[in-house]
Amino acid sequence: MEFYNTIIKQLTVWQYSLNSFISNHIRAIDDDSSITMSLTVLGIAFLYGLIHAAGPGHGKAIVGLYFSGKSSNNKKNYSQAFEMGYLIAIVHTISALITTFSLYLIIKTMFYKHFRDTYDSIVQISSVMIIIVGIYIIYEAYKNKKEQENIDDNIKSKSKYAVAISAAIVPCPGVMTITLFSIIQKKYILGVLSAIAMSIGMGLTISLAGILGILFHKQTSKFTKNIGYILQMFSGVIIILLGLFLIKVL
Amino acid sequence: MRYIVITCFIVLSNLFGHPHTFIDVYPTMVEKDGYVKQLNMRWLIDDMTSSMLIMEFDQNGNGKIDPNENTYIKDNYFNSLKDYGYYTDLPCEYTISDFQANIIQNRIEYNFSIIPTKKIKVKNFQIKFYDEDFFVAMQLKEEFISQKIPHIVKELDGDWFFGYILIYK
Repeated sequence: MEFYNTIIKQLTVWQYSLNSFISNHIRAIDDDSSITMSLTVLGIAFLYGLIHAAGPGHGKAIVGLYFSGKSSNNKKNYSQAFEMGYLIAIVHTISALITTFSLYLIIKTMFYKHFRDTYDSIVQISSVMIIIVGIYIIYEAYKNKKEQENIDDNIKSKSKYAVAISAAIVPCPGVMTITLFSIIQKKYILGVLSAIAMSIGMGLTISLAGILGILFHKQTSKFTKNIGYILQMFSGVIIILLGLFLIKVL
Repeated sequence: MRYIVITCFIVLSNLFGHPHTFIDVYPTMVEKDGYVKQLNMRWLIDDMTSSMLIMEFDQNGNGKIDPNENTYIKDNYFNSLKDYGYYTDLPCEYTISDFQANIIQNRIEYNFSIIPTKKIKVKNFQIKFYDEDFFVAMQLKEEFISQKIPHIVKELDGDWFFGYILIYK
């Protein structure tokens, strides 16, 4: 746990610095120096996304679990990990942009309160979807066992999208914060571009969680070959428990 | 076994929040005869979060917090932090008073006092600053503590969050 805490601490320190750097630069941008400063902000937003997604959350756990059942021998799985990582990042960001602009335009006042309320509501919806994904994984494992087919190659693409959407529907508060800050500073385009830059960074980190899952599968392929069914079921149960935790049932 | 351990690790990591608001904490100890009289707290909220809050708090847009706006902030925002222990963990019961919000260079500042309800010695008095949900990251640096009462600042490694401990000697 000490190693984990060290990572969390370092990520927090970096985010603290980057958050301050981005806000100072967005505020400082004026028409004369906009290109260089804007590119700097976008570069830092990318880095911020990379580090931000490395912290807890953002669907890495689900992606990692999903790809832990995938064989590293199939090169297609690596590209699928990136595909899912970026799918999550895109949905995550679009969700944040829509939520931010909607709340800002509709409400304007009491923003911060609604920001948190909306976040809580969407977490509940996301939790239900995560539970459904868990049930689906268990169903797939059971079906595969019954049909005596290989678990690795049998998870259909539609489950991939279900996993991605369930993990990403919760809007990223980090993206929401940067976007809103830019809107308040009347730098609308920069706000959206920063959100996109941040999502590219997040997508890379989330994809790496999938790659880790695949590599892990490689290291334990002998082990998983024998009890892959049990592990697949276990993953499904864990994902359901995760959903229940998030929905605060447990 | 490694599969199970790593699976648990990444799943558990998903359960924890991660900071989106950063608060610089400036604590000042007020002592009397070696006992804690009160703690004067100053919080400086990060620029991005402050911009959201100012949009709502500074209702007349004059760039400062007026008395009626201060009452609004206290009633609608600050008091609700009681549920989170004001992100401040003390080894005794306490009351909160003298809340005042300000806008300092585009950042929201909260000032308030923490008064212990029983006599407690300054020596070895510990204050922990953290948010268990880790939605808020409390930042305590040595340079935030200006007074000369001997103390040390230590990092607090909670299982699911990160914070600081201030220990008076």
